[in-house]
Parts: sequence; C-alpha cells; structure tokens
Amino acid sequence: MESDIHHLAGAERDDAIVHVDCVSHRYPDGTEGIHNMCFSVYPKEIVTLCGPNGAGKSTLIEHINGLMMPDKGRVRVFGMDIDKKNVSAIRKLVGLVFQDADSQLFSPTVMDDVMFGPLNLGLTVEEARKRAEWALDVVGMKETNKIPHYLSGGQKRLVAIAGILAMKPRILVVDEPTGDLDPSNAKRIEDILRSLRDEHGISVVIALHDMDMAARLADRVCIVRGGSVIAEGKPEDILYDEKLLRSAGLEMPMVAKLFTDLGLESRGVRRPLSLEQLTSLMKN
Amino acid sequence: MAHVHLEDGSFTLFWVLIWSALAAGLVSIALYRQGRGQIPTRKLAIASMCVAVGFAAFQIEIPVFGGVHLNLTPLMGILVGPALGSLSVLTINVFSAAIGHGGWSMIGANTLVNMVEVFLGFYAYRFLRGYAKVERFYSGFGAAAIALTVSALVAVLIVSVSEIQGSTQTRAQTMANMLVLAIANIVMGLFEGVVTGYIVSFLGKVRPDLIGESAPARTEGIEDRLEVAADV
Amino acid sequence: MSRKSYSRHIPDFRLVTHYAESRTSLVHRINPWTKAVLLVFVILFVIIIQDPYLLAILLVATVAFYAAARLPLTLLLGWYSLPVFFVLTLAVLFVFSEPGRQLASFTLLGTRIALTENGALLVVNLLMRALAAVTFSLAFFMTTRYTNIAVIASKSLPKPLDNIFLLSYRFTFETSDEVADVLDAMRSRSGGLVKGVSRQTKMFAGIIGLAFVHAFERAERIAKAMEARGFTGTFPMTEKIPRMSYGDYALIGLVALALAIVAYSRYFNNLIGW
Repeated sequence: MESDIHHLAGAERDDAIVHVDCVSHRYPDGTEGIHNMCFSVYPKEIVTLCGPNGAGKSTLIEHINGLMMPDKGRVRVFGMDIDKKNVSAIRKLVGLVFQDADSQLFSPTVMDDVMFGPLNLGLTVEEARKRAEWALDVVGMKETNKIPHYLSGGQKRLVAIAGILAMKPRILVVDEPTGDLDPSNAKRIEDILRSLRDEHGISVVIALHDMDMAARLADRVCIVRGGSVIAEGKPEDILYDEKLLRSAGLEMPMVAKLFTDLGLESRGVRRPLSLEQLTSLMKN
Repeated sequence: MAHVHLEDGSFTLFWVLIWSALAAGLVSIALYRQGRGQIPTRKLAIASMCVAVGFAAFQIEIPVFGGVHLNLTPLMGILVGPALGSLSVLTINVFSAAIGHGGWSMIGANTLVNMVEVFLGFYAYRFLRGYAKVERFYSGFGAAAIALTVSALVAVLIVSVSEIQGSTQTRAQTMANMLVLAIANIVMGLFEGVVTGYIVSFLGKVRPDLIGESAPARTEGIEDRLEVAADV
Repeated sequence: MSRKSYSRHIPDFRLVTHYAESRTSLVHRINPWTKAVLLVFVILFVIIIQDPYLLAILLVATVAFYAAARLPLTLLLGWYSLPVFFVLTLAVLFVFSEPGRQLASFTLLGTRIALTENGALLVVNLLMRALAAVTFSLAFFMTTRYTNIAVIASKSLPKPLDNIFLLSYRFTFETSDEVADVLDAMRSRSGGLVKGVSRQTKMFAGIIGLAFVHAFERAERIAKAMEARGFTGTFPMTEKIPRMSYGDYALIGLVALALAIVAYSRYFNNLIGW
C-alpha cells in the first residue's frame, strides 16, 4: 500500500533529528510490519504515533532505536544511517521505553536497574550512581532500594523511564506509557514527559491509541495505519478530523467530540486540546 | 514424580565430588557450545525464562492420580535444545536445592539425570517429528517417554554405583531395589509423556515456531531449530 | 507481600522472599556471607556425620536456627513434605532389604518381608540428613534479602550461570504470579470441577503450554530491553554486603573446628567414639 501522507502542518522542515525514510520491514513469518514508512522527529518536540493495535507503531519505534533493521529504506538518526556498526552509538542517543515495564526491570533493586544503562555505557560506578540519582529524581521515584517485584505498576513505569533517562538520550521513545496505569499515575507520567521536552530539551516520541492523551501532550500527531503514516500535522487539525481518525480505527478525543457537539466549531474559536481549555473557553 | 531426586547425605563425599565434577564438565561443554562462555543476550533471556517457568510449572499440581507434579525437562530440551537446556536444568536444580527439592550436594547427580532428559527429549523429538514425520502429540509423548525412561535407568546406575550412604547392601542389591523404583518412575514418566504430548500439540497450534515447525517469528537465536514443514 | 502459595507442600519463592524482606530477627541480622558459609558447613556435616545421635543434634540445631529467625514452624512442617517424599521413595525398599536384625515381618504374596533394624535406621538417618539440610537452606533464604542473595550468586557462580540465575530469580516472581492468575481464572470458571483424567490433563497441559509461550514472549521483550540499554554481559549490583565481623569469623571458626573433628573422626581416627 503506497503511503499517502496528509501533511496538515505546513511546509516540511529540514532539521529532523530522526528521519525514517521509506522504510519497509517484513517479519520472518511473512507479516508486514511497516511499509514505506516515512516519519521524522524534530528537536524539542513531543510527537505522537496514533494507531490501533497492529498498525505498526511498535515496529516503527524499534527501528528508530536500531532493535530492528529495515528491509528497504533507511533510518537516519542525527545524520547517521543506522547499521550494525553504529547501533551502540545510536542507542546512546535514542532511548526506548517498552510498553511492558516489568520486562525492563531486570536488576535486583531500583538503583541497580537505573544504573544498568550508564554502566553499560562505560561510566564508572560513581558516575553511574549520580546519573541514576538524577534520573530517579526527575521521575520522582524515592524508593531506590526496593526490589522490582514489590513496585506498583506506576512505580515500575517510572523506574523504566528513569532507567532510560539515566543514559541521557537526546530522544526518548515511549510505547503506550500510561496504558495500564491509574489516572493519578498516568497524569504523573504525562507531566514527566512534558518536562523532559521543556526542561531537558529531549524530544519525545509516544506510541499510543489514547487520543485524549495525544491531544493533551502532542506538538505533532502522526496517524499510523497498515504499517504507514497516513497523516501528520498539528493536533488541532488531525484530532478534529473524525473521518480520518475513523479510517484509522481511532476515535476523536473527548474534548474534540464535546467541542463539536456543542456547536462551538462554527463560532471560529480556537480548537481546545484539553478539557481545561474547553472549560476555560466556555467560561469566557 | 517423574524423576529421582536425591537429597543431601544420600551419597558419600567421594561420590558427591565425582558426580559434581562430571556434571561440571558436561555443563562446560554446553557453555562452550553457546559461544565460549558468552551467551548471546537472547539465549540468556530464553534460558532464564525457561528456568522461571519450569520452576513455576512444577508448582502446578495436576489433580489426577492423587496429584502429580512434573518437571518438564524433556519439554525444555524440545524447546531450547540440549545445550541451553542443560544450563537451564542446572539453574533449576540450584533453585530446587534451595527449597529442598533435591539436595545441594546432589546438584551434580541430579543435573546429570536432567541433562539426559533434556538431551534425549530434544533428539528423540527431532527424530520422531523431523525424520519419522510422526504427529506432534505422539512425537512429544515418545520423546518424553524415551527421555524419562532412560533417565530413570541412569538414576538407577548413579545410585547403584555410588551406593546409598549407610546402606550395607551390595551394589547388586542396591540396583535391584532401584530398578523397582525405576519402574514406578517410568510409569510416571509415561504420564509426563502424555502431558508433554498435549503441550507440544498446543504449542504447535499457537506458536509452532517454538517447536521449530515454521520460520521463527521474532525469535532469532533459538538454537538447533528443526527444519520441519508446518503441519497443517 | 507475596500472594498465598498455591501449594502448602512446595516452598514458594514469593513467600520465602517476603519473610526475608519484611521480618527482622537475630538471624536476619547475621552477615549473609556467614550464613552462606554455615550452609556449606551444614551440607558437609550432613554428608560426613554417620552417628544417628549426632545427626539428631544437627537436625535440632538447624530447627532451632530456623525458630530463632521467628519463622513459622507450621510452614516448615508442610514444606518437609517434598524431602520426606524423596527420601521415602528412594529408601522405602531398603527398609525391607537391609541385612540386620528383624524388627517386624509380614507375608506378602507368599513372600516373607521383614522390616530390619538397619533398614529403619537407614531411613531415619537419610531423613535427618535431608531435613537438616532443607531446614537450614530455607532459614538462609528466608532471612537473607533478595539483593544479598543476588550478590552472593554473582560472586560465587561462574559466568554466565550467574546471569541466568539472576535473571531467572528476578522473573520467577512474575512467572509464578502469572501461573497463579491462570489457575485462579480456571477455578473461577469451575475448571476445578472438570472430570476425567484426560480432560484434566489436557486442561493443565494447556495452562503449562501457555506459561511457556508467555515465557518465550517475555524473554523476547527482556532481550530487547537489555540490548536497548547496551547490555555487555554483567548485571551491575550496587548492594554491598558488609564485611564479616570478628564475631562472624569466630562463629565460622567454631563450626569449622567441629566439622574438622567430625571429618577426622570419620576418615582417620575415631575421636568421638563413632
């Protein structure tokens, strides 16, 4: 299927730090993971990959980190084409947090686990510890001597993020960061992702199918269907396009539905991206 | 039980050292086959998960014949091959010794018995399914039954040669006693064979790549894959 | 807090770790290396001692050690099932075939079968050996924190067995939880009422098969996560076990001396009237 990307965000930029250039990947069992996938990441942005299960989001993000290699096309990260020789260097720049936090915590304690990455990068124990303490502070995780099995779901997710942050990546890729979390932990994760962009200058790529979260967080939204990006643009454009979203098996975010159903679209006001913005709009 | 598990104090120190040294030698060969002591990350993860699930599966009591616990070592051989399987069963024996399922000083002897199961489980399955084209259930059953029968006899041999510490019987008498136990273990081994057959059939439907019946899906690195056409 | 074990007879690592992490006692405070060395000594005692009275003293000492850790004795008794079963399956025939003075006899299918004194003593000795080792082993694991076990394993096992041990130890909790969840789900759908050996066996085979599928899928994810973080073959460990104190060395020295005497008595010159 040829990709037919709707660019709703104005002219394309040339400052991409990640460029997935027409990449295709087929699994050994014949399943097509991604097909002619074109995707970019720009500095200091949060970009969301929205699509239903099986759309190719996870396959794409594993290409960005070099866990998978493309059958066709190329992936460039900070000007380097990913290949087997430079994949270690790439992984220092692109950190990947998987959906299943449990499977990423393999050390005896939280501190051990967060130090895992920095030590593998060649830092001394003291340097790695400082990095780990910093990363755990960023995510607000204080119980550093706990064993992973005794952490709550939210804590596991925080530690998984800290474990990647400690490697000081320039890009953080997160797969379904809040899928199985309660609202309070989900909000905490969202705040952390926002602060990574704002305070630490890290670009964040989030694969998700929670359109409300995409609306709240994203600077740019990419819709993934059938292994390709079929549309990308600003959230106020993409997430209000009900036909587009339905075609990709997605639903409009609640704020967009309410805004549209309340007939506020016709009043020419700026489309809100969160319930707080909608409330503020209605009060004014 | 489908195995003979020996507790601490069953053998004299001399035989503990002998069987431990033999097991250590065979494990070293298994490690060498995996890449001179450096296991690729994927194989490390697979071996570890095999240990974890083998241990957890042992805790499942199948409510037949008064309650049966299985070790599933032939199944491990089928799934991960003899070398990786050997490392897994050694680790399982370490965990098991910690909780009293076999003794610490018996890890060597118990591992030897389990390695026979893993080894024969793999090669018997490969022969039955790959060469003789036997159906999955019967291949799994046959592989486990063969493996557990031979391992029961190996256990007889090990105990007969070492003699039970404190027993004044001759080796021949010890062997005669052990053969009676071996028969009981072989019968239980047949039951485990049935369970293994069902498990292999199940895996063949949901993840045939795990038993080597199609190209691996995202599981590169699993050793000794069978090259068998998928059974439709 | 780990969940209730799904077997009263098989120690559950989740429960074992719970006692290690959440309880305190004098035994919990003993240096982990000291306890590890004592475990080795107990195993050696179990192998070397032949006198049943000494074995009985050893068993009592290990149970006292377990009790001093304020660990539940009823749990220990339940967990004795496995080692007792293993010893009896091994030795049951020896009871009737060991030469020696007959204690009792009966006729079975025309054959005279006698329970001999040596046979009974053999079984009792084997049981005491096994139970002493198991008791101390369980006491060790139930009073030593998970991270300390990991440090001991990483320092005492050769590569890559230490990595296999550490990774499997880490995930045995999750795997046990998953299997427990599946069993609970089965029971909640009246799976426990399924009749027939064949149907029961097939059902449980499916559960075990599913557990293996999940294990392989988890292994995939773990491998990817490790590769993504540049795993080079060593799991870093920040926990350090403090050095042994003079008291620890004194304790080890005393036990070593006792072991030396016992070994000398057995293999060279009977010092203790064996």
